[in-house]
Amino acid sequence: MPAELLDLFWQFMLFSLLAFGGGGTVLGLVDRVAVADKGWITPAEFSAAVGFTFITPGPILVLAPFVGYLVAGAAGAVVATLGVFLAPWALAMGSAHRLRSYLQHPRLRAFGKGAGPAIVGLFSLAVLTIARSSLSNVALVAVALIAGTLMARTKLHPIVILAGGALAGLVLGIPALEGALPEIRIP
Amino acid sequence: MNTPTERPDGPAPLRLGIGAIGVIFFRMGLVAFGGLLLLLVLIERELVDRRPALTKRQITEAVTYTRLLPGSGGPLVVSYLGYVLRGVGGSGVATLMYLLPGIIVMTGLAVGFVALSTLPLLAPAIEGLLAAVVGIQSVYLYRFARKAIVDAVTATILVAGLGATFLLGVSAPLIVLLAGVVGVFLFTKSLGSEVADAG
Repeated sequence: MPAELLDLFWQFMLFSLLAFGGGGTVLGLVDRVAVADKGWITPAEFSAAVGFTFITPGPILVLAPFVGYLVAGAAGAVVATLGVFLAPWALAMGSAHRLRSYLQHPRLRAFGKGAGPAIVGLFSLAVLTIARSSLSNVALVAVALIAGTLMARTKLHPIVILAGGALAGLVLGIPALEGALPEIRIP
Repeated sequence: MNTPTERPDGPAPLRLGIGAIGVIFFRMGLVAFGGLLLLLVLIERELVDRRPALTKRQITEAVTYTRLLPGSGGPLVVSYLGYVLRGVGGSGVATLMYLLPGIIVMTGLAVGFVALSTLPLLAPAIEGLLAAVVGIQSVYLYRFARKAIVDAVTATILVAGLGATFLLGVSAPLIVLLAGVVGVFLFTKSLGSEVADAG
């Protein structure tokens, strides 16, 4: 297997093994590795991968084939998917079998409690990275603020909010408006 | 190796074939938009009410014994119950078929994204979509941070992790691993007593 595919497999397996509290907790880690360290994908492509998980059935870690495809085509999609779901599958089977007592040890829970704050830090950096690359003018900042407010204060499904964002983007992209919007740069 | 959990709470289960397991979990995967809660409702409807292949107790056990594991909750529960239904083969087929709809859609979106993202009409729509992602992710970050940063110790781990990233250039997976090991030393005793008290 070419080195890049092996690396994809291994990195996604690592993501899955550190995903204490669900797949969403390692988005910051995925951003750090796939965007900043490896340069596999751009911040915009990472943002799109995250956004698309809201309109895709299944867990958040189903972004693996999206990232894998952008890195190495169909083979990359397969390898990244295998990497991210193989270890949890094995651990879940172990839980159903005799390994249960080892997998319920307080040390595992303590590991998750310690890892949580570090993951928050990485998650914050990921959101900042996405913001830097996506919010290029004040109108897009307003779209982000409105989307966040709707997410926090209403029961609207993220799919609806994302569709609204896309529609707002189309309107803001009208040539007459586009040139009139003040640009910004997030530090 | 094929030893399902004991079932003292009900009659002998209906033994499903591998094909049936695949079809049932594929159908669940098609509508897997509501997280673990919706999945549990679907599992109960399909595998307890419609066909007595599982008991409610086994479903509860699946949630209990997988909640501490790393990974997404839904696939973990599916893998566990697939094993209960039909061993390694059942677990493999259930997990694969549950994830398949999402994998197909995501791969299709990747192909479409590569092909269409340069189209003049779609570029502004994608910009708006990505701006909305920032808003939504900020809310998720806030909610996750509220659960994870609960005291001075966890706040210190957060600051130390950020410092290690910016000042020392430590790799992200290593930071998470080290923070987890620190957690093992700091929290095992208190979490062990919590489990003992809960009985």
